[in-house]
Amino acid sequence: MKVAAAKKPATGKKSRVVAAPSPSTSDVENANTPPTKKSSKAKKPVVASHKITEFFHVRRSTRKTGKQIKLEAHENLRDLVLNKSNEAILEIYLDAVKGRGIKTTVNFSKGDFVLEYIGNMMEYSEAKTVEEAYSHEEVGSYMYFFEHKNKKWCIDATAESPFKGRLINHSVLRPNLKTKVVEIDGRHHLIFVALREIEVGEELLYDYGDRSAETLANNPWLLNT
Amino acid sequence: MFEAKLANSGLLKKIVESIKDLVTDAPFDCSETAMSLQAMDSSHVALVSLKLEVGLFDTYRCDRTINLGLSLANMSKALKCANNDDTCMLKYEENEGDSIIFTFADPKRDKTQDVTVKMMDIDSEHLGIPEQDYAVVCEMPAAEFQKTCKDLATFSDSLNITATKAGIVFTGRGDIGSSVVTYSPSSNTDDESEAVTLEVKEPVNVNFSIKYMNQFTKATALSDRVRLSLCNDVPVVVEYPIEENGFLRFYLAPKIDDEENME
Repeated sequence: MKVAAAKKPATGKKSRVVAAPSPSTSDVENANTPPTKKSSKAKKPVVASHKITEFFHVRRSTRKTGKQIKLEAHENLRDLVLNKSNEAILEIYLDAVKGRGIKTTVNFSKGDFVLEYIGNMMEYSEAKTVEEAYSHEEVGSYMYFFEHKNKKWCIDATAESPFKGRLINHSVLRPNLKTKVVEIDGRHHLIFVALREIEVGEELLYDYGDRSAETLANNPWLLNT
Repeated sequence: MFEAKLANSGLLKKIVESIKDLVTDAPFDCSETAMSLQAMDSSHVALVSLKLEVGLFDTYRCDRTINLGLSLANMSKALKCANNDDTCMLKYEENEGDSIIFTFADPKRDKTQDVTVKMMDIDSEHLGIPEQDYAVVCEMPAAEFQKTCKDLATFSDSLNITATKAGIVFTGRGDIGSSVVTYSPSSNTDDESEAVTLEVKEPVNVNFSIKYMNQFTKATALSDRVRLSLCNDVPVVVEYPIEENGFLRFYLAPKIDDEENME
């Protein structure tokens, strides 16, 4: 019976192994001569490859963790507050009735930091003494009382200063700012945050919040503006 | 929450075993449609890209896109607990800490085993892989490619692939000798799974590190076939399809030419 020839591989593969001639004498010589730059290079045949990143570029992930976003927002706020950069984008204007007020030269979105209320930060007890003194001198009070971490504080901005937070007028009916206490580098700051979209040219207004009978009697505008 | 069940733990085992020596950390991106992974080796020469589509899973639920970072070594430990035929359920619940639970179930014995693996923060750099029209696409039995790479590695550290319409040639040339494997496109298509198919738009001549190729071929267990996509001066793609519902792809940057090296 005739034996079939070895089955032709379907792949049509052909393999060839060739032995190299014995190492050339030059290699031996090289081993005896002091190592030159070339021989040291040829010492280890590490295959140097290109980096995959030369062909495919890193796509910076636009996804961020909630923690990261919060942290970045805080860093941003910190810069804005400490640099006082917003002071320059707000302007003082004169109103026939209200006197000085503040208008914005830029748009703000809801929740944006607008300005810090800058003055002397003091504890409640000290503020009361100061307030008492002011009432005798008949100077307009620029004192803002607030609570932070269960403690009462006051910022006194009565003294004239270049900072504009003290000049923002009151409105209970249509305020566009609200106050907020934020902690930055361990110190607390009283800031104004946009309550809604604020457009260029709008006057900045917030609710002074003082509803005590005595103040209301003297300042009826607290309730109807 | 994320919950996905594979009919066989064996599949995940094979995947992890084939990449765990190449990449250490696996940032799994889970979306509504697929579970995928992209990771580079430590020297940034090779890139692993894995995609497991919903179709591979018995059940799959992913409420929102999440990133699950796992160490492949730890994942391998977890999977060692499973028999290949056990079903494998992966579960991650956001409010239950930073762990993934692997539940292996043996339906024949009504046995389940829960293995919890801590997740890790992986600073993953996602690479954008551009669309590429490859000059040469070659498909062959995965085992055949594995043997070829292994044979060449005994002679050389680098692998030269040249392909023309006439065939594809794998060459490993070293100090002790060389091995040259030539495949002519098979006209004999009796057995499709054994065929070597070759599509050549333009001839290519490229060099790669054989060490990486050998690592890639650990994925041979995953698939009968492997597909090589080649172009001059761009990374080669070595792709192992996974049950028509996914793939494991390896990208390998070309070797720096000796002439380039001299400069």
